[in-house]
Amino acid sequence: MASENRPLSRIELLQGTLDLIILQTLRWGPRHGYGITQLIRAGSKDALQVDTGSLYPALHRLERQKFIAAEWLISENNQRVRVYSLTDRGRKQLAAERSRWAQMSDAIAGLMKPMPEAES
Amino acid sequence: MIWPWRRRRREAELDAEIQGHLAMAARDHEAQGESPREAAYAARREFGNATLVKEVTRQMWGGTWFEQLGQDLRFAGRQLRRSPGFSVVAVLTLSLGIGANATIYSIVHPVLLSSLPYPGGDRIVALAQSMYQGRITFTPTSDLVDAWRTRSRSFEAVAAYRNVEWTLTDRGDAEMVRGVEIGPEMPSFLGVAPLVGRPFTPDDARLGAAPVALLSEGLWRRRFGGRSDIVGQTVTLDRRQHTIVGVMPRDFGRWILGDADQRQAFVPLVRETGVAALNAVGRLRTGVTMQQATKELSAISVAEAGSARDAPAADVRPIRAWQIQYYGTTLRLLFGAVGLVLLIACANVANLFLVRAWSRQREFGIRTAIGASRGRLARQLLTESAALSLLSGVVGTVVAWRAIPIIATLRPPMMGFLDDARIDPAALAFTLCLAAVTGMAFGIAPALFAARRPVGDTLKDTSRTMAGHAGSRRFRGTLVVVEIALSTVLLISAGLLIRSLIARVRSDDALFPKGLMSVTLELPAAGYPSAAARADAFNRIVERVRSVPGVEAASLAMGSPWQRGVRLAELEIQGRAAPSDHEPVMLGYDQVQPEYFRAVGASLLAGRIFRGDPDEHAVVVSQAFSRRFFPSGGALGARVRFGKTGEWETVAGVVGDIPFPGATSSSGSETVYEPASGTFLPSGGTVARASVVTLAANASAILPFITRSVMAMDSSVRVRGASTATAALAQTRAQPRFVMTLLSAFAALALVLASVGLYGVVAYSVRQRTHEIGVRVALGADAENVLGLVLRQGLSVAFLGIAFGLAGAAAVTRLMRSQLFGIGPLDPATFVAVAGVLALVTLAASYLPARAALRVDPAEALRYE
Repeated sequence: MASENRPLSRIELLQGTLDLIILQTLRWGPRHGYGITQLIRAGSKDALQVDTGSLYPALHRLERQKFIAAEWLISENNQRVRVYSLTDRGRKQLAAERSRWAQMSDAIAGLMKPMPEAES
Repeated sequence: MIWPWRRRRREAELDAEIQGHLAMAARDHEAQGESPREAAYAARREFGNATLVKEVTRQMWGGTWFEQLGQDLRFAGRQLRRSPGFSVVAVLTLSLGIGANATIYSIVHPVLLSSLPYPGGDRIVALAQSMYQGRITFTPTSDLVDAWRTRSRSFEAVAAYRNVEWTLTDRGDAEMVRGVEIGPEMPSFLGVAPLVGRPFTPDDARLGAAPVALLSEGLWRRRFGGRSDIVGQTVTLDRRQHTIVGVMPRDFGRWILGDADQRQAFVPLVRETGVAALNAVGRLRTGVTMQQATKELSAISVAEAGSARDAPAADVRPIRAWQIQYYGTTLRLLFGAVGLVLLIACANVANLFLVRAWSRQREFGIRTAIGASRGRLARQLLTESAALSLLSGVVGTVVAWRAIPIIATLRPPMMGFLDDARIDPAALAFTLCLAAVTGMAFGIAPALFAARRPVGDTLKDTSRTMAGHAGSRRFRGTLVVVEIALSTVLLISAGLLIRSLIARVRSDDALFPKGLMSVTLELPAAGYPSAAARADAFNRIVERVRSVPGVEAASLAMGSPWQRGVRLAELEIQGRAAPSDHEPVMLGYDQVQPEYFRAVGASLLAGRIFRGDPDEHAVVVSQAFSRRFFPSGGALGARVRFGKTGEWETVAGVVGDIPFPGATSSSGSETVYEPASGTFLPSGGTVARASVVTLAANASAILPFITRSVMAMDSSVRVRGASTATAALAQTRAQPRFVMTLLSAFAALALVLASVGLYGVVAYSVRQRTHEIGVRVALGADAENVLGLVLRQGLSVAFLGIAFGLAGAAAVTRLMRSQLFGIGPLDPATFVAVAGVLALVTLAASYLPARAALRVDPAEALRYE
């Protein structure tokens, strides 16, 4: 977990963001890996495409950190699928991440405001 | 962290998870109207590199490190098995290099230890005396050691000992046993307790005490069957029964009291008998320097002697410095040689790994393409070279383990410490690490380079056009040049030693007449108290020897002709200014009978031989003496004396020089012969010692007979040493022969390694140039052209190496001048011969792979790739 005081490097931001997105996606109920990619794609209007090479490591990492739990279920197509769901711990983490995200988003939005034209 | 046994299930689950993902994606594609095949393909394309996804996902589980190590090891094993040629050559090269170094290091390291494995071992020093500003050093008398011990404050403890020999006549055949008279303080000084029984007490060392002895563990087991009830039994040494009070462990006195066979038994050093020469060791108090101790002991010496003028200075020095003074150069030479062998081995390994890494670039490219990271590749290669080094380390240990006893059997008599050599783990670890680092450095660099290049480039490359090859080839050529240069240096050094030894054998053969022998006798002063009695006893023995059929000449002398005494004397010549006290000259000195000169083959050049009458006051001098002190003639009839208290003596005759065995010039053979006085008793000594020097037609046959008849004549006379000149001179050559043998072995090893290196470079380049050679043959090049093409490459590397090697040898052989005899360090014959041998060997090493080039079928070569 990234500590609050540490400057956010690019990798951390991306990784943290993917974790946040996964947790957020699972808020609406348990999903399997493929379902998560489809949901992210649809939810971001195809703007975000999650690379499987990032998604699965992230899922397994979050599982190891006990933010999400996994179980094997039989899908409607009669197929065994590994389904992930949010744990209580994950819910708390999501809340914390969301507020951090909101703060940062505000901060960036502030920076992105038109500059007061002091110099010219 | 996932435990290995849970890992397999977890892997299967991950597979199933990904299969599920792909199936669902395919179904969605099918739902959009794609054919099942297209849908499956599209799903896989979207998913990306499944293997890589699995790999990075697995890393999230933790515990992959071990798993990867296992993979790497298995893979390394497969790789090494797949190219057995590479593996065998690499392991052999490395293990020989490692083995040779571990051997020499194991032998040399304990000798060069600065600290002895005893309590306060780094403060143990040898105590001796010196005169003439340290130009000569000698051992102290027992009285002086006692004075030093009781009056100095520089030492925690002082211990004395003396190496002796006895005839042991108990339990079976009589045998000569070498042992040590030790002060009762010695066991506690060395911090060693007896295995059985008790150490000596001060009472044991009193004059008139009942004789007691301690056995060494070796003698106890060998001669007394290792019986536990040994204490209280007796052992007969020199016909005196000694009560055995205990057994000392095998290593007792190692490093100080002598080699294992020199300390088989111990008796107390009886303090009250003034012994002329005693070895003394002391343990300095913490913080006391050797200079301070020297100063204090010198002051005590002056107080003992009563005047500063008569007292030799004390000489305190690290005990190691005493012990290695005779073979320091030898050990350094061996160290240097074996270091060069290791360098050559490393160069070879570097070469092997480079070739291999370059030829595996394609493999690395493919592995990068399917998702291997550079770190992963590097780890893989590290594992491979570590596995190889480890294997070589094992084989190298076996080599050292087998080589050490072999070297111990070759050792010259004075290097008995070799018998104690054990494999030194530090040496093994060091050489192993060096080999591993070399392998890694040269194996990894090209792999990382391959991984950094765009994948497509590497895959498009054929081995023929692979980039980086020109540089690599040049670098590997340089490595081989270095190897050949280093082997040239070693071969020349070995060659010089071989030539020296041959020259020495030749010179030794000419030194003395055939059939010269010498028997050294000892007469207890107690049994023959007067000089006249001793003279009479010795003369009777010589007369007896003269009467033996076949004996042509026999004479008493102070020692054997090949171990002649020297004397640092203040020589004064009548009519010339007296030399100052501090300008003594080193002279050969002997007391002989007139027949001596005939026996040793020194012809009379001028004047006459003295008659042998001590009142004659006549001496005979050697030609070198006459030349040095009477350069314009006039030696005959001159009067000389030694020291201000000596008597004037007239030079009666001049005889031919007898050089010292192994001496490179006649300097040092300036000798003065005085008539034998018959006493042969050093001042303060208890034993009169003299040699009977005999010339006989069949020396080796009658030597045992003479020895026996002397012993039969007078049972109190002891025969200390008996040898023919031929055998004794061969002994004096033992050390040079030993060095020569080892150095030749190393040089041969170096030559083999360098040839393998050259062979490898040429062979690889032939393989690389198959296409080019095919084109040349297709265009009409004949066998000669092709052979010339390949040979030129090999020989240019070889000749460059030889040239550098000759220059390097010319620079370093000067350092071994002291080991040479009869030839200079730039001996042209050796240089030419070595260059010739190397040219032939390197030609062969280039020719063998060049023949492969001849077999290239142009059609095949052009189709190739």
